[in-house]
Amino acid sequence: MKIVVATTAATTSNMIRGAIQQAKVQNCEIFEADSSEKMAAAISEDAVVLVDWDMDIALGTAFVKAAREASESVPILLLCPKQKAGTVFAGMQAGARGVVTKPFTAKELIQAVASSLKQAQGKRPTVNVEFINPFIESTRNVFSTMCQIEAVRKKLFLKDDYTMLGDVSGVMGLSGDASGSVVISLPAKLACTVVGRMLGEEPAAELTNDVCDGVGEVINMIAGQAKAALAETKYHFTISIPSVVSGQKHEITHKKGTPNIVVLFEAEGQDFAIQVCLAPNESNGD
Amino acid sequence: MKILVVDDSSTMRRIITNTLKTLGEHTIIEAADGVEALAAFKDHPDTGLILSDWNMPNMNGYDFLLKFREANREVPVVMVTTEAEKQNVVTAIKAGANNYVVKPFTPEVLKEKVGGFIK
Repeated sequence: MKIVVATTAATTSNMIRGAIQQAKVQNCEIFEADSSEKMAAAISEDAVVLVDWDMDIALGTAFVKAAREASESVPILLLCPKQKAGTVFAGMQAGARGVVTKPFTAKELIQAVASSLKQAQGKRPTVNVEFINPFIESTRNVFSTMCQIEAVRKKLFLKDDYTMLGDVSGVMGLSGDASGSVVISLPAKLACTVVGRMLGEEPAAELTNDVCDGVGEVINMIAGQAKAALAETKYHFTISIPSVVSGQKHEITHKKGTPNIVVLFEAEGQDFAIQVCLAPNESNGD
Repeated sequence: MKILVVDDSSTMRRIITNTLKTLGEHTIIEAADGVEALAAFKDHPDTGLILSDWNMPNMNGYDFLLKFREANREVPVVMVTTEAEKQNVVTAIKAGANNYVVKPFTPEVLKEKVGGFIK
């Protein structure tokens, strides 16, 4: 295994070396790269790229993009300090596959690296795109109808870890001909704006219970409308009661072995994500 | 006129209430599920219109509608819900709903669908 550390601070590489030694990982080469060129040249078949997110966001994003250009399949993880959790959208959009929060224990780092390698080397499950479009359309529609906000789709990617990209997430479970979950994850400021617009009121200054309730209603409407569109195909669902989770770097689990598709949108100059993890049930014929 | 708004989301109750306020001076009573709605109607039997969500904990809007219609065929009930499939609309109308509003909606759509029931 080769760990390529993209950082401008030697302390980060030392931290990783210490963790690898502590965990007694054998046959692990650590390569420190302080430029995109050095990093890209070091990426090999068995590599994992750890991008230090405790640097200028534009520079960190450039590292991620260069790594992704060098290899479509290499696992890229962001080493993100807690206080910068709200900025990981840019890294994920550029091609990162997960986040490890700093400070981390040796065990946490090794688990994240091993898990990302396993997923990269294993065969990725097929993405069922017919599930995605109804959620993209319903998201746009809910934002424009209820909030008079245009939600622009930016990018679609797969995400393996459970860490959510926003500060507050609304979750709906779906069951029926396919089962899984759909999540909306928003930065706090955008959540306040969205709920304020829905109510025709000034946005709250911070996440309140009312804002969280509003986020739950947003995912309820998105899931409900997508469910109706999917009912026109062969998929019929029932939806659960929405739940809301908040806090920086909060986690929401999704169905294992099923592609977890993230659709990144931009609204009011901020990014937010819709995450769809749905698998057809075996009894659904084809 | 008293209007009962039933939805487990306080945000949605406020959105509906804000729209209803543009249709005149009305007393809005709120309930968060079917059980609360039945109790609220018992406390306010002079309620003239009910707007109800479908997916709610404890007692959903459809079960509330069935239960409510056992004792009252007069007061109009408008479903305001994300349950947009045609089959659900038909099911609700058969159970005694007087109209059906699919979320998301604009204030204009809500006003159009409930305006005829407001005195």
